[in-house]
Order: sequence, then C-alpha cells, then structure tokens
Amino acid sequence: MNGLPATAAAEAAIEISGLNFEYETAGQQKVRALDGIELSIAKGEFVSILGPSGCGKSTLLYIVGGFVPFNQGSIIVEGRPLAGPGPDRGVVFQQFALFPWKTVQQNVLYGMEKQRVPKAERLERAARLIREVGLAGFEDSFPSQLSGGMRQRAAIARTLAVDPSILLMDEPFGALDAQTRSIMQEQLLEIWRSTGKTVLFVTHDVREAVYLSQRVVLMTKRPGRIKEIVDTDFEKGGEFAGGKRFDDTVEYIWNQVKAEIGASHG
Amino acid sequence: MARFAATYAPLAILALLWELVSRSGVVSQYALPPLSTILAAWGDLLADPDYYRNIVASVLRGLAGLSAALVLGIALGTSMATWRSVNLTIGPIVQLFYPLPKSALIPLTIIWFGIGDSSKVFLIFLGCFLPISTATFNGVRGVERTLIWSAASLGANGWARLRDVAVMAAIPDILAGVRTALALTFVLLVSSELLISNEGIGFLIRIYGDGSQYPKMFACTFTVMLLGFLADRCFRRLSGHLLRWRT
Ligand SMILES: Nc1ncnc2c1ncn2[C@@H]1O[C@H](COP(=O)(O)OP(=O)(O)O)[C@@H](O)[C@H]1O
Ligand SMILES: [Mg+2]
Repeated sequence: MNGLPATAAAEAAIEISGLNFEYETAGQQKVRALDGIELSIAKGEFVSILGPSGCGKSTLLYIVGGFVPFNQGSIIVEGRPLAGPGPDRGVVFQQFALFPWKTVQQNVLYGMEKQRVPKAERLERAARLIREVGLAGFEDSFPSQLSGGMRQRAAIARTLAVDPSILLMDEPFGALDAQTRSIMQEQLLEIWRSTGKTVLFVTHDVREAVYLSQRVVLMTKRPGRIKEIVDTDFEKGGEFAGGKRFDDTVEYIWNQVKAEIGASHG
Repeated sequence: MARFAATYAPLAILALLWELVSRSGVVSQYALPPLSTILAAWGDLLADPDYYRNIVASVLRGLAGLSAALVLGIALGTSMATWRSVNLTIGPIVQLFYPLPKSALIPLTIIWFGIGDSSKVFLIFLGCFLPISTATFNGVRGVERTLIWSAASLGANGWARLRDVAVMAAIPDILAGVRTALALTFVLLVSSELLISNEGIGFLIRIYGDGSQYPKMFACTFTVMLLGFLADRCFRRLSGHLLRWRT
C-alpha cells in the first residue's frame, strides 16, 4: 500500500460524497458548516485537513466519527455506510477527552473492557502501550496530575488500545509546546508506518500538515468546501529540515490559506 | 496539639459560659440546665438499651430514605438529562414540587403510611429525591460531549455511556446534591419523629420534654448534633475519596 488515492472503491477507507451539513441553532437559524464535500481516502493513507478556524474541520471529523448525524450526502467507511461511532474509527480530540476520574491505566483499559478483551491480554497490552508512549511509571496517575503532552500521549494510547483501523485526530498537538509536539509527530509517523492505519488529521499548522501527510486537503472559510487537495507524498527530511520541495509546498499552501483568510475579511 | 487546642478552645469556652449562666440563676434551670447535669443525664442514657434502640431506629430510617432517594434520584436525573421526552414529562412536576417544604407533607405521610417507619422513610425519600435528581440532571447535562463520544468510539453502548461516563462525570454535582439531602434528612427525620411517632431520637426528645426531664431532653438533642457531625464526617470522607482525581 503506497498510500496513493484509491481508484477502486474496495480500497477506500473513507469515501465522502456530496456531504452538506448545517447546524441548527437556538433561533431556528441554520449555520451551514460544510458544503459539497467530496473526498476519498485510501486504506493506509495519511491525509491532513487544513483550513481557517471555523471552516468546519472539526465538524467533518465528528461526522466521520459518527458522533454528529448528517442527512445530506453519503459516507462509506471500509465498504459500509457510516452508522454511528464505532471502535473501527479511533478518535483523538484536541482537548484529550480523557476520563478524568480514571487513571492512565484505567483510561487505556476502558476500550478493551468494552471489547471484552481477556483480562490478561488487556493488562499486557495496556502496559505495552503506556510504555510505548513514554508514560511508564505514570500508570496510576490521574489526568489532572499530568502535563498537556502526557495527557495527549495517554489519549493516544487509549485510542490505540482498541486497534482501530482508522485514526481521526482533531488538532491533537495544537496545545503542546514545540518540542513535545515534534516528539509526538515522530511517534505518530512511527505508529502509522508500522501499523498501516488510515489517518485523517485535522490541523491549522501548514508545516505540520505537509510534514506528516501524503495529501493535504485545503478548505475554504465557512461554509467549508474543499478548495484544493495538494499532494505532499514526497521524501521529507524533517519538519524543520526543509528541502526545496518541502519549502515550496509549504509556501504554496501558506499563500492559499492567506488568500482564504483574506477573503473572509472582505 | 496547637491545632487541637484551636479547634476545641471555642467549644470549651462555650461550655464554660453555659455552665456559669445556668448556675448563676440568670435563667431558669428548667430552660437551660447546667451542662454538667446534662452530661450526667447523657451518662445515664448511655447505660440504657432503649436509648440505643431509638438511635438505631432513626439512623435506619434516615439511611433507608436517603438511599432510596439516591438510587431513584440519580436514575431520574440521568433520564431527564438524556431523554427529552422524560424531561418534558417530569420536568414540570419537579419544578412544581421543588419549592414545597416537605415537612408540610408530614400529616399526609401519616395518613398514608401510619406513624411507624414507612411514613418517615417516605418523607425523607421525598425530601431528598428532588435535590439529588436536580443535581444529577445538571451534572449530566453539563458532561462534555467529547467524553461521551470517546466512550462511544471505544465501543461503549448507550447504557455503558450513561453509567460509565455521564453519571461518573456528574459525581461532583451529585455530591453537592447529596450534601443538601443529608441536611434535609436530619431536619425531616427529627421533625417527623417529634410530631408523631413511637420510636426514634426525635421521639425521645419529645417524651423527655413532655415528661419535663429536660437534662435528658438536652442530651438527646446533643445526640442529634453528634449524629449530624458524624454523618458530615462520613460524607466528607466519601466525597474526598470519590473526587480524589481532582487536584
Ligand atoms: N454545535 C454547534 N452549533 C452551531 N454552530 C456550530 C456548532 N459547532 C460548530 N458550529 C459552527 O460551525 C462552524 C464550523 O465549526 P468547526 O467544525 O468547529 O470549525 P473548525 O474546527 O474548522 O474550527 C463554525 O462556524 C462554528 O461556529
Ligand atoms: Mg476545530
């Protein structure tokens, strides 16, 4: 699987077509958040969604996660029409969303308990994941006792514990300092390469999007439409290592984003 | 040691003042028996099996009413916060009954359940049910949706999401409701026993009062105070444990 967009439907992890979405607000007014989204993501592909804040990135992710029901358009996930949330799509939220009353270990165990994974295996897998995300020794800490970076790693371990084939990530590193963030990006790439999971990654950071993903989906300001899909599947030295193609791509996308933000001011 | 002194010094001063005022004859010793007399009467009570029997009766009534309110209050509050139809049906009834002082229902509970345990338990249940269900409702309503969504994407079904996430996340609110309910339990328990009953600590207060055995009456009032203090201690312990994840 080289991660190029699938041509055959069977190869697609997520196929979105004709998706429109409006939020109902209190005053019977409707806020159009997404407009005519068409996007096909291949199995094992890493795709980022980039766009100005408020353009509907989170909304799109929530819809694919099955949390927010939609009624216009169609979404096929691994060959089946989307029907509610499920452990095939693991989600990492920007604000971590760890269960604050559970310890790190209990958080990581929760999904496996719901999946009825045998206890010995549960404990073993949790221990391994906690070690892999660098939280060994913090098994019994509550989220409130951890730093932002540690919470995010705990949240990722919790999601990976149920082994979802698709990862939906909503600005997962947005709240982290530059150094932690860079470490987390490497870990995510490592996980992606070694497991072949499909990743749909929302960010507003251009370098991050170009560095991590194979394709970057640029969205317009609200109501979010797909403005352009940029191929970023080339060899990258590192997020800050640059390289001509990397820098050119970042600059190109930056200009598109700036134009979009400018457009929103008139 | 210094902390111990700081905590108990004001109590000791109050006790001393009580003793002095009562002994000085400024007020009638019927209205305010000397503290030492009360303590002596309390000593007599402590040797009386009847005293314990009445305490146990009251404590069991309180526990029964409060537990029933806890179980059903959490269930109703969660249901109201989860299903619109339940909220639409029950919400107005809750709002109507909330401001009613539940002690006004004492005569009615007597007519329905007689003067024994059931009327007291029912009254306490009624009083505690609304604060607990309302607190649960608010807590569950305020649960962050990403917590529920996380559970859903980890494979939790609807029931598990309510039990494992919504109710758990509402625990700080529920505990605030329980604190109110606990205070109400004592008010309703003692007032209903005072008014009409055949056992319980409120019953003892009334018969000692009617029999002009004021030192014993005061000793029983102190007993209620002590029970309230102990209940509050237990509550703090429990909530400290349940909220240990907060820092
Ligand atoms: N629950 C909601 N009710 C009404 N409008 C909403 C709701 N959630 C988001 N919106 C609106 O929908 C648009 C898209 O929001 P969102 O998906 O959060 O954007 P992004 O993640 O790109 O910043 C925004 O204009 C936002 O104000
Ligand atoms: Mg967002």
